[in-house]
Amino acid sequence: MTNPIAQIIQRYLTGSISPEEEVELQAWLAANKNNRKLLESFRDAKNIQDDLDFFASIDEDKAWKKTRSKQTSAGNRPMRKFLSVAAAIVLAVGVFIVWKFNLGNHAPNEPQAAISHVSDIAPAKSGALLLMADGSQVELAGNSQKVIGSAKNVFGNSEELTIKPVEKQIPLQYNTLIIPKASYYRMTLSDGTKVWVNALSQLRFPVQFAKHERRVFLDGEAYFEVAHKSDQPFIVETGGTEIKVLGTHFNVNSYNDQIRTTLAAGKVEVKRGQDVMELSPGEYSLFSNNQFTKGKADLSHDLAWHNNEFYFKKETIVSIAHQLSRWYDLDVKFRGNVQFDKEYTGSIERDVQLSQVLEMLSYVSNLKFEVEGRKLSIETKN
Amino acid sequence: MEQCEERLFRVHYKSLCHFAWKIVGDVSIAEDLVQDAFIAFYKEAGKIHENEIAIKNFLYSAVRFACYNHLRHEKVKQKYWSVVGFTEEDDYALELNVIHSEVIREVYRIIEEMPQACQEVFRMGYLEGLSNLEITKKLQISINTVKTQKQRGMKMLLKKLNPEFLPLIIFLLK
Repeated sequence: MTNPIAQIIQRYLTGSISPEEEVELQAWLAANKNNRKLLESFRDAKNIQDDLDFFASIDEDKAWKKTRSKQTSAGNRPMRKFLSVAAAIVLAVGVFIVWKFNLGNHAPNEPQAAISHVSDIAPAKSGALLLMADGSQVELAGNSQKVIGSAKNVFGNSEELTIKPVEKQIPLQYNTLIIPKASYYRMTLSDGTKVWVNALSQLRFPVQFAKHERRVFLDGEAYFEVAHKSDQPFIVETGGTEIKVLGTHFNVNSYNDQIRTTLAAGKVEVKRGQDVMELSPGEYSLFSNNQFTKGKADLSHDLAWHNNEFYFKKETIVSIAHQLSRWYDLDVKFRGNVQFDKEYTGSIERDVQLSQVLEMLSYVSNLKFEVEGRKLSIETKN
Repeated sequence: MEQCEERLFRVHYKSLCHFAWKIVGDVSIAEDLVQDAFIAFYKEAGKIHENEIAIKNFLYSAVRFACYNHLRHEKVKQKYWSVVGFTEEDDYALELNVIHSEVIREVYRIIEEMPQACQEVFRMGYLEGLSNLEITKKLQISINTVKTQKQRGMKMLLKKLNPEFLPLIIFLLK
């Protein structure tokens, strides 16, 4: 690598360029617009963030072990694919199994011995049902925008519901957004707050907030990006817990008799009776079995659904089945002696057919899946 | 010997992966090629000068040729040209990529070492390009805290960065 211009660039970047070299550099930059692009790419903060994320994603420990095993096995035979498959199989025997499935590289017609199903089941779609305070019902489906409500300030289609702020006073009345199984939805409240609502959830909200506070009611799971208003706190009420914020990003999960609040940015106050807990970014609070605790959150886990991913981390098949049932609208049954204490770790995109998720699960577990209509049966492979 | 090998691996692994990734565009292939390069290096280790720069050059060259072989083999050249936008002969572009990967490694290491609160403000302010006011809103902290944390982060970066990269970092963050 002894191209003179490279050395000149290097000196330019490290601040030791001479005037003669500066002239050469300018000529080089003028010669081809790609040259300038390369140089400019160093300045772009977005690029740097991507690069740093890349560094963060590489696991040195795993790579070092893998290199060791490659080195010792088969006397350095030209290796790869085969060995990595072998390694994957060895890994799959362990109790904690990591699987990351790249769908782009996947051949569609592989045999699926462990899964038997008649027809495949599609992932959840965007859509919801809106129950207005006056008793009217609107199905939020289709592409065309519907105008809803007496003030004509509510707009919705299958993708999104938006409430435009209005000047005149509207009495405080609550509407209910219902997201069934196998659906998800997002909405913008009248203050500009954005809410993403997960499957099998309900959000109650007014068309216009009260003067002194912005209060909504949640049942299920939602991610909030709250518009900042210091004089009008935003409160999420869920199963006897109040989450009070001024302007932040956070997730609330109240599935299965527990309430988990995970803070991505800003500050929130979680209140339950007399107990008050303040969260800093990256922390979660959990109310479960009458215990109120907090700790350091795994954001990529807790926010995975918002990033359109399933992310299982040391989770039992029961917890995984719950998530699949909500997302694909399934009834799940366990047959025989399925081990409920075994834990699985892994992630997969959420917008895939059920068969693809089950295929991955059957690769890494000793479980067998059977789909019939909307019924999923899980049992141990013999 | 083994310890020495592992240290070397840990120093260069991520930046080599980054370098390979920029060429082949796939993380797992990049990692695979870099691991192979290390194995080749351990085999040849006796014949290579024990000087850090010679080792680094060997590793980068090995990874680079492995990447080209891979691309030829996969016959995805078409895609490769449009993505990467330079030709195999452009050594200088590759050398730039080497510098790029090395710089990112340094920055990454230093940011990782910053205390949590400082890290967050530093990332938002310098990498995501948010203004101080935006950060105060996002994190609900005072403007003075933002300023202090940013200065703290920058001081750490300047103190710890290999002086070779210092002007470049200032250039990056301007």
